[in-house]
Amino acid sequence: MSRKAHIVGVGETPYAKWGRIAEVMQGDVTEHALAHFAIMKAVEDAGLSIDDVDGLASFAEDRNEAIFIAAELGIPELRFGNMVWMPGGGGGCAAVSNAAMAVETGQAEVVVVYRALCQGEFMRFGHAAELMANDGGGAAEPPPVSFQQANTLMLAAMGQVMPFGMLTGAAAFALPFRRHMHKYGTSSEHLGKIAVTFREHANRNPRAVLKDKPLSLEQHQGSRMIADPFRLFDCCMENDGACAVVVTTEERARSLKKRPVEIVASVQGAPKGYSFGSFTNANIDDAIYATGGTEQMANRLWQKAGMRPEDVDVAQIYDHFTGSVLMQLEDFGFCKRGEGGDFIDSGALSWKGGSLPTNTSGGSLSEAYMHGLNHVLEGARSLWGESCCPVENANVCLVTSAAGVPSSALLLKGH
Amino acid sequence: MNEQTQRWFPNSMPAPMVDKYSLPWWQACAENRMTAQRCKSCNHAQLPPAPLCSECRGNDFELTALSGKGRLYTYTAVHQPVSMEQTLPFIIAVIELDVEGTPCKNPVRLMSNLVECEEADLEIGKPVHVVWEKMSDMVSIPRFKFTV
Repeated sequence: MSRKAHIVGVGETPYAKWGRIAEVMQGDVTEHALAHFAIMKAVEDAGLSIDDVDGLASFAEDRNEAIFIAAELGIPELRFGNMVWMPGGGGGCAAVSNAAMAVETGQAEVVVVYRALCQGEFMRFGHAAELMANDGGGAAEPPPVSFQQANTLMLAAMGQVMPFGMLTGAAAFALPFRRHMHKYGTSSEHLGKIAVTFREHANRNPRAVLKDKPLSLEQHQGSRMIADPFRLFDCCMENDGACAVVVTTEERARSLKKRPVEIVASVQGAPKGYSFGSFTNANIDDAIYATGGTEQMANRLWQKAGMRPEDVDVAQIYDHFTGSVLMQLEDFGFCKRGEGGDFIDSGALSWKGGSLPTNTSGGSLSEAYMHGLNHVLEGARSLWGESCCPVENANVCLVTSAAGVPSSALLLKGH
Repeated sequence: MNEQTQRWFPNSMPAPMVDKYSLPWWQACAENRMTAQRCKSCNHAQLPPAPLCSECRGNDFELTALSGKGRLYTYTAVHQPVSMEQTLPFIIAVIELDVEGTPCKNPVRLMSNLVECEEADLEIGKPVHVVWEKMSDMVSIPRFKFTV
């Protein structure tokens, strides 16, 4: 038996609209307490106990650092703790990948990957602008505009673009998609069909924040503009909650209660000169500007796994914005460059009869925004036959984390 | 009309956050000079300025004067405010700056804004030119207008 890494359990807290976590948790909770609940549920799902856990991994500058989570959970001995580079959802699959490396190299036996987000407790990403605007408000005589010192690389990069009002993901990812529309004639209706399909999936998912809210193409087209061409329903939600995934070796997995899901291959990274992608970088290579920036990485994934796009039965594609889904579908080779719109029109993404059932839980657009780690949970569930939108005989699932910023991806296989 | 005194955005917009490498570029902006960091070894032009040339890893640079003309590379009309007294929507634009007549070997792009344009006029590839918005004695922000 090998040390090959497998997913053996998943778990989450109830998900809530931002600021409403108290309503679904029967009482107010903090973000790190949400992380504990999710980790305990995932461990229980695997048939393990917290005493079996010896590693923790997260991403996106998770405030809930492994050493404190380990201490509060009473983990007997922490042997591995890891935080993937940079903010943003690009590190979701990479955190799973790092957990896999830890168990495969013997650094740890059981690593839990987690992500907690309580934007009711902390700042909402989509409202950074309002907070910035309020900063220093109330002064009788505001001081003249002057330079501020950037004391991190991230602030140096953001500090170059913030004077132009670049503060939100919607604006950052609208830029490459606008160019995609210009080059290939992609339309807002294509984006609407993505949003509607994922909502249909969420309407079947009791965990989904928007499970009781159907969405029509007309409603999508009538929704208010956020950052052209992205309308309200092209943007993911902002939610409170937490989720977790348990990774261990094949050997250990054999004695556990669920059929292990193999992490066949994983990749992470960014193209040359990418920085924080279209958020901060106006000079992304022209050849990849109107893409998700994940084609190179996707090719590495197929090569490592010895698989092709045709081998994928179901996909969980990071959906911070609809346009980023469309460009990733091209990056990963499910259709040719520029043909993402036609691919969407074919109904490919629907769980019912689509050629590539995608985001079978509803994704970040309609299940919950957990920085894409919930996509990994749904990936495992879709191979266990536990998805609310089951795909018959699904054996291979692609999971991706973000596009337009440094990213990561996993290929999962059922046993 | 003197464009240097025109205002399009309020003072409450986020101020530039600078480091050792970007400060000279912003100081040139304060003098209404559009520049790009040019590697003296390989003539690669880059923005924002950085400690190393990403093409040849050289570190001998100069700020090369550009015409301030260019073309619209991509854009988004943003309908959410970034500061309180702002007119909406405002346009975030990526501008491909012209390097003709300079030793720079590549056009270089800048994240900026388009001002005084109707959304219906937005078209990728159209020529633009820089206009300077003086926010204070210390800070001028380069924005762009369509060149008619």
